[in-house]
Amino acid sequence: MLFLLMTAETGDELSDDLKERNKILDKDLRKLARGKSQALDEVYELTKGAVYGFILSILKNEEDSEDVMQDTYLKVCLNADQYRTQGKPMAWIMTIARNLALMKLRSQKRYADIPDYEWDAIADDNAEFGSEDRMVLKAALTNLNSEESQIVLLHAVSGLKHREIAEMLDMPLATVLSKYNRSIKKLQKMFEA
Amino acid sequence: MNRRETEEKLKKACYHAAPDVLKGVKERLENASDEDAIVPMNLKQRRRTRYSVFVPAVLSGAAAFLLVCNVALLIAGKNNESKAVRTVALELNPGVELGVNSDGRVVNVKTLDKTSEEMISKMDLNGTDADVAVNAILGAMYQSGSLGDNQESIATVEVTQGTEPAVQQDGDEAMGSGYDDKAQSGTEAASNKDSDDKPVAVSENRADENPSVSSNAAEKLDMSTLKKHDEAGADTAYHIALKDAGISADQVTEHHSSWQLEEEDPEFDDVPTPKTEAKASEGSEEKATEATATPSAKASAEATATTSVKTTAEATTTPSVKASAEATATPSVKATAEATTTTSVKATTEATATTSVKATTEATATPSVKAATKASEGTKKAAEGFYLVTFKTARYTYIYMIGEDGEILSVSRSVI
Repeated sequence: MLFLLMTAETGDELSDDLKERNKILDKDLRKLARGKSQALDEVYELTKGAVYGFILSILKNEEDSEDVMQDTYLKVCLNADQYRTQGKPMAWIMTIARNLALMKLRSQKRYADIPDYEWDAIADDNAEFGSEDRMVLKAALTNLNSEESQIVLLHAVSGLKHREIAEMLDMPLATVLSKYNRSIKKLQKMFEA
Repeated sequence: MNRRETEEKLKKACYHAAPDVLKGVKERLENASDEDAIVPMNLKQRRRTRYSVFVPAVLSGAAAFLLVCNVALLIAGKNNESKAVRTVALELNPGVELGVNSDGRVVNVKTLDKTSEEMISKMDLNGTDADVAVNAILGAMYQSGSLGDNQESIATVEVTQGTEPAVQQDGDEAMGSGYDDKAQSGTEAASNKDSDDKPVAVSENRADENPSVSSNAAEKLDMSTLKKHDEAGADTAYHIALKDAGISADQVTEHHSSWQLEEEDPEFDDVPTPKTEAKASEGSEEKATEATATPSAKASAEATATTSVKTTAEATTTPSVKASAEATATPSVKATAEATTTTSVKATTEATATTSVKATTEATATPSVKAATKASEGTKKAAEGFYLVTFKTARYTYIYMIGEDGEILSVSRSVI
């Protein structure tokens, strides 16, 4: 009973969509490892939102996030042969993204927040990025601290399990769980308002 | 709004905000190189490629090879340090041989008799500088009475193996400091007379008179032959040398004798305080020709010392030697001249030289200036040349310097 409660609480049950996505990513990464660069298109389409949102939550800068995003997919292609199929392709990609983002963060000044003109720039570059999207993403990145926003994006957008997030961020599972629940509730109130 | 709806909104917003970087990635991918490779996520599950196996193996092998080489060099270095490249032997009674490495340090000590064994057993000479060791041994010899005022000779043997005998000078200096007067006179003889004979490894210098040798040599000496400075004189000098060395002509494999003009040695001539302090109180002629003193003290002391020397010298020197000395001096200074000449005949080069300087000093200190000066001139003249006799036996090379009066100025013996 306790186990079932924990499982439900942590949300470690992957949806069928996420399971299917991971299978596709596994296949695409194997194709990339064999030199079939066409597989990159599918990998990119399945992961771009998660990768960009996660990088943006670390760097808080649109331009730098775009550069790091490009570097991330480049590395994914070049190092696809080193990926071992464990059913965690997203965790592998997000680890690459995080490492590159942290390297970028160390090499330049840190940004406390994303200014409005950068949100404007994002909206200008992407026609799909509407006002609601801007409000939602801005709320997630400005009203939550860096750790909270990373945890929320890694779970809600990337579909990583809380255990994977705890491992990646080197945090206790309980901390990840509490931060996630608190952050989601906070976002819910903001969205409802 | 439930949790899932919130998550979906967030997901949707991120995907809508994501820029299109795919084109740029593909362009870079075409120009990408292996330099862009990054550290994989899970090192434990890293695929062991051909290079990941091969490179560490090569590096490990190289490291092991370097380690072996270093150890080998270390061992070789230690072997070289402990290897004796020279042997310095002090041939006296007792006799000691020191093995000296290329750094000039003693690596082994070999005693040649019981006396030296007893003496050296109390000393740990391994690892010390050769000159320090020689000094210590000479000091011990002197203290034990093995070396004394009546000692006749010191033999320093140095065997080199393909290198210049740099230790020789050091050893001589040590002898000078350790054995004071007598060793020092031997040192002077070696440095002045043997300086041109670099290969000479053995320097045996007679710092003192050796009555038996001198008288025997004098018996054989044909003064008129020697003074010709020609082949006949050289042959006579050769026989004197053979006699002194105790070697018959049959044992000699090669020999050469010739008259050599002695080159002026400013350093030798400019010595302001010759080792000629007379120790008249002791009354021995050996003491009269050694040690140092100021000219003023020497002048008065010499007067008495010379007298005692003269008496002894006249008793032991042949009439022919005395006659030649008398011939070079005026009647008023005959006695002094006899004394100095006799001394030089029986003693070494150093003794002769100091006598000449002593006479000069005397000239300024005593009333009989002219007479003493003449006597010294006569002595100097005799020291202007010498017979250089070189002969080899199966084991040694001997080099003798013999004055025109038949005195043995210096003896060098080297191991072949």
